[in-house]
Amino acid sequence: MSTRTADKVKRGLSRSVSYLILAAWTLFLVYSFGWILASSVSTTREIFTGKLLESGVHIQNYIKVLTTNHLGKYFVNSLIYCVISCTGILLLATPASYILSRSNFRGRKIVTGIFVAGMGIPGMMTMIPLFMMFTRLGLTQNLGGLLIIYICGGIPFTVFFLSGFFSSLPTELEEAAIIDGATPFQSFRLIMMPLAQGALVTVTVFNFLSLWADYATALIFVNDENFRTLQIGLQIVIRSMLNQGNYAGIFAGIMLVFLPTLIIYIFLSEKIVSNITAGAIKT
Amino acid sequence: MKNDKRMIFFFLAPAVLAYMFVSIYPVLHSTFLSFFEVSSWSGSEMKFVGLGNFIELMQSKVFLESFGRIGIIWLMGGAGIFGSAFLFSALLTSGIKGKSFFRSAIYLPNLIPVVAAAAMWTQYIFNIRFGLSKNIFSALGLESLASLEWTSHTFIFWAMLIAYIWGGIGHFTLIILAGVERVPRELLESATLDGATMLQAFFKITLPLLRDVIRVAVVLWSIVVLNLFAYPQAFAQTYAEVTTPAIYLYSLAFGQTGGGAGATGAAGVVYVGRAAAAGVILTLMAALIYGVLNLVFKEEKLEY
Repeated sequence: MSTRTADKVKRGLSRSVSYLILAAWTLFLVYSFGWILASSVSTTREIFTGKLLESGVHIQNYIKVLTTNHLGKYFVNSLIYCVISCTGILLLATPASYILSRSNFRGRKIVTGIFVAGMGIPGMMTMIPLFMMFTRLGLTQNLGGLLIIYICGGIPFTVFFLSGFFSSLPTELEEAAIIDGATPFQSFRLIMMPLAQGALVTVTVFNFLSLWADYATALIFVNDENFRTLQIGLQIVIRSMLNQGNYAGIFAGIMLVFLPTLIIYIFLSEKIVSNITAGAIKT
Repeated sequence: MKNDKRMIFFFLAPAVLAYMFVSIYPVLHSTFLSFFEVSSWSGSEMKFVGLGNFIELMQSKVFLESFGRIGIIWLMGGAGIFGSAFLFSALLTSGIKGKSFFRSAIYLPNLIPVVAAAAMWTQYIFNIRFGLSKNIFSALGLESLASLEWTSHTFIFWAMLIAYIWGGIGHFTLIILAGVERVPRELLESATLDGATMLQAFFKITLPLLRDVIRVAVVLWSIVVLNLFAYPQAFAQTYAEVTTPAIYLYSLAFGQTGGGAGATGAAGVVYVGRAAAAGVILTLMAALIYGVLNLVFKEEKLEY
């Protein structure tokens, strides 16, 4: 009897420790974001004296980083990059993933091999010849260079994700369509595409989040400040604000960069997390 | 079917060619460039130097030290990330309430754009005047830790490593967790009935069954660390203490000012050929790491 009670106590104890660790992690996140959010609408003096929000909410901090520091423009730039790139990736990757999941053709292994091997190549190395070429073509002075790299670079992940999805659909649907006289292309467009909408949305969320957060490629390939992305813009803004000692502005900038990600995550975290987990099993 | 073959080609070729353009082509061209001295981005001034770039790199203290640095990151960061990932996986599968909420919370730092995450740590958490670490350590009465200048040259590497571990735990937790969840419940239940503790069950049953998952995770971690760029670069651009091989490659090719300053000529000298050689070395090391790790974790089909 006594061992059983001891067991119960032990189990209860380890359960409490579990909650304690998980709560500590969560508390750190919530507290830090809460503090940064509060600081972003306080004054720098209040930040230094530890009296956040004492003089009310200063939305001016956001207005200043958005306009004077051009983060508003960079925000729009990043949105444009993301929307065009995500669309371009889908246009290229969707047909390819359909073929990879459906047809057994010669060279199939080679194609998969190219996509897999490419992911082990050091990203920084690939930038050298591309930067050389884009410099000659003038593609570092506009949207072009970065868009090309975003679209081409997003293909493997998207192809693997979508071909996994297409493989899970029964082939009977297309077979029936072909018997009814549809061409393979028609059966792809009219039967498979409508079914794939959910998967296309999910993979686009992933692509959007990773492109939104991109740092290295944008750092190298955008030479003109009119086409700068939000991440690079934030880095430059932080540097100049440190010189001015404007901490409230820094925290407003951080929130501005992080908020789109956070909003998407609040609505879709379950879907995002479960898809990464599913992907982890397959590899 | 003739139609079918045409469709395969037109559906597949654009994606394959587009991806080869940003993967295979740059590798081939970089390898070619690595044998030349290239001192401008127009590529007009090229001089064949044979293995000269590789020899220079092997004699460069900064380059060699950067490998020691990612070695430390691999080992200590790996211990931190994998230790936490196993701990969180065990906690999340122990039947607690709010599992999916905590799982989302653990993953969240992975999604924070790196510039924002770096700024959060350097400007807030590690701030010497009003930072969280200062306040926590002061409250605990640990004055020496509270007054530690985390963002000074002495400690910036460790500050970066802590932030980097925090940012990477989520992804590896999801990978390990996926493996842990596939371990059949009955195995663990019968072990606990036979008197094994939770810890024993984890080490004796769960861990051995996770071999393949761990192999994938270790390969991923190694490749990620080998190419580590964004976190240290965003954390402390101008600090030599956080220079990784990829950052060194970047500064050779583009100068430390960033934004493709090489093209505008603002940064002065660029060493494009030598940067390409550094890229070749990194690629060879990635292949080597992959080969070695596959030998260490020989693939064995476990049936369960």
